[in-house]
Amino acid sequence: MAKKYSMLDYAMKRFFANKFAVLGLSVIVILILTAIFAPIICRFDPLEINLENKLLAPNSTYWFGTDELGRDIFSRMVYGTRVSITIGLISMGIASLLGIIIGSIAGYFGGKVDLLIMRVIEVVMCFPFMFLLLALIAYLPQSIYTIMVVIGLTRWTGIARLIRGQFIALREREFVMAARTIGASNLRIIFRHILPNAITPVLISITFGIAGAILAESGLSFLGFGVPVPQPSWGNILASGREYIDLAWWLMFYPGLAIFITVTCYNLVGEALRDALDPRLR
Amino acid sequence: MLDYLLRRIMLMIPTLLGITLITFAIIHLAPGDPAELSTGGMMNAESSKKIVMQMRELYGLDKPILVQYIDWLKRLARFDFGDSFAPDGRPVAEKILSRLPNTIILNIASILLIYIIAVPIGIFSAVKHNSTTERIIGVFLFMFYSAPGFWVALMLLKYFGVHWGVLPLGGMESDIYDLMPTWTRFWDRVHHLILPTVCLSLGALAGLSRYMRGSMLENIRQDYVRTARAKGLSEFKVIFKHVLRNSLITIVTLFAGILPGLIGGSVIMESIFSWPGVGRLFFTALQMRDYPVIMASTVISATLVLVALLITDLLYSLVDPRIRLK
Repeated sequence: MAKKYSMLDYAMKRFFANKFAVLGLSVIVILILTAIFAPIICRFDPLEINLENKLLAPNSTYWFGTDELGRDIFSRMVYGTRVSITIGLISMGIASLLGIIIGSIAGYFGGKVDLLIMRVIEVVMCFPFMFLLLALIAYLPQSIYTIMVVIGLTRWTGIARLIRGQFIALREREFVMAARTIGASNLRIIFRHILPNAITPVLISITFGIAGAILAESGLSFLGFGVPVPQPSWGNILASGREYIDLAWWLMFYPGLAIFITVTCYNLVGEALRDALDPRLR
Repeated sequence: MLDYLLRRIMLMIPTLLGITLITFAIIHLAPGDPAELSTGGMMNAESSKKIVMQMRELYGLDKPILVQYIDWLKRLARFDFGDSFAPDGRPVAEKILSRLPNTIILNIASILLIYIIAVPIGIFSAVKHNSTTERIIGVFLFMFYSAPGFWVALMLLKYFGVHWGVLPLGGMESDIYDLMPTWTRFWDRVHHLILPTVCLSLGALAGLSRYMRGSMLENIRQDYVRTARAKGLSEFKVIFKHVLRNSLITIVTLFAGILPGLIGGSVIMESIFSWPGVGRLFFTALQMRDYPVIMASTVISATLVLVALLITDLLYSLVDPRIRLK
């Protein structure tokens, strides 16, 4: 018997046929593994201060050099991976949850609810992202959790609009009518029937969102409002390099490169997902 | 047209109220008394007491929350944002107003640069669709899009500023600016503007080029282009007279989309290049927990975006009169 191919099979096939997508995905997997096994990979304690070895250029002991307190940059970057990876995933998790719930409600119920929600979204989108983010952070205790929540709270609008659009397109379709006829509740129709059909464009948007969240966190840490020191994050290592701009290129170069590569890989996966899931958009 | 303009401005009012509401909510987001919190044990007892008093007075924290909001709104309507907590204690409105032109200059320069580069790249990529050159340009744009702006900024600063010394390290003018003749002054300003503008533009530049390409490609496939070609117009005329005009409509509307990013990005760029704009003011205010300045810059930056949205809509209705009828 011939195997029946589903839409998903075709999408997977198209996705994995894209070399860039496979490259991006592999790098992301490597980064996740680095984050998990950070203590095994590092040969030095990322927090250990060793003033005798301060500002050493990259060498065979300190692969990426040392900072102004003699801490090993390689170990600090490995631990920084944890920050970037978790912030990317968790903050976008929060944003997608909010976006999906709010967007579904607006799209499904329509009318005044929709009008109100769309107005709120419009207002939130008026705030320049960095301003809103920093203003929120100014009033909250500085910690990695604050950063996750705050990025999540400012990033849901795009997803909500996407989901709303999908719901409006789908809510009058026959399968929804059928579900309603047999007495399915609103909640059941939203989550069991419409949402699974509306979710694909959101996956693409989430992937790009993770890249954006990683950039946002590194930007915040760079400004000194992100992950509190001494905990290492790519952004705050880079920030410390600012003072030694003409002396220690390695302080700036490696963390920036890491952010760049990570963001690029998420964007590559996002692009490939878009091509694979919706070939019309090419 | 006037009718449309009025209608659009009326529609702005609820959004503006929403902006103030969110900002107000942020002030009250902090657990406990925002007045107590604002001192955060950073200052000595006497000055922190003074700030607590100032905050109480400014936000009327002992009154019911609705009264507080309405009082705050009334003062906003008179552009009274209170006095800065910084040592100079100047009125916040005055502080922001003196910085605003600099931020606007930087943003206009970036927008000009973005459009001047993105439009030709978009046209080229669409006309030479699927060629090797187009692919290479595509890869570069993708890299620009993913690169963290502050990293690129520091790297450029390191080479152009520190090592080769061809561009200034920061600020808006040289120390001897006042002694320069007018023409040199202008060049001095331009000189200082180059690095911040380039760095601020990179991300949006890549995005806009891709949109321009997409918009051109979409229009090239349309029937009217086939007609234009069929009646024997030169390819140059087809592309630049017919396709380009229609593609630009989409691009004009994207102005509103890139502006929030630019204004937000100027917080980072202005603090890297010591550019004396609102973004840098906001950044220093954050470091000093200067709450009146933080709140005022947040409201003003969002209002700027709202005004930009209005301008975009007006531009859009100028280039595409069908919109006005809706």
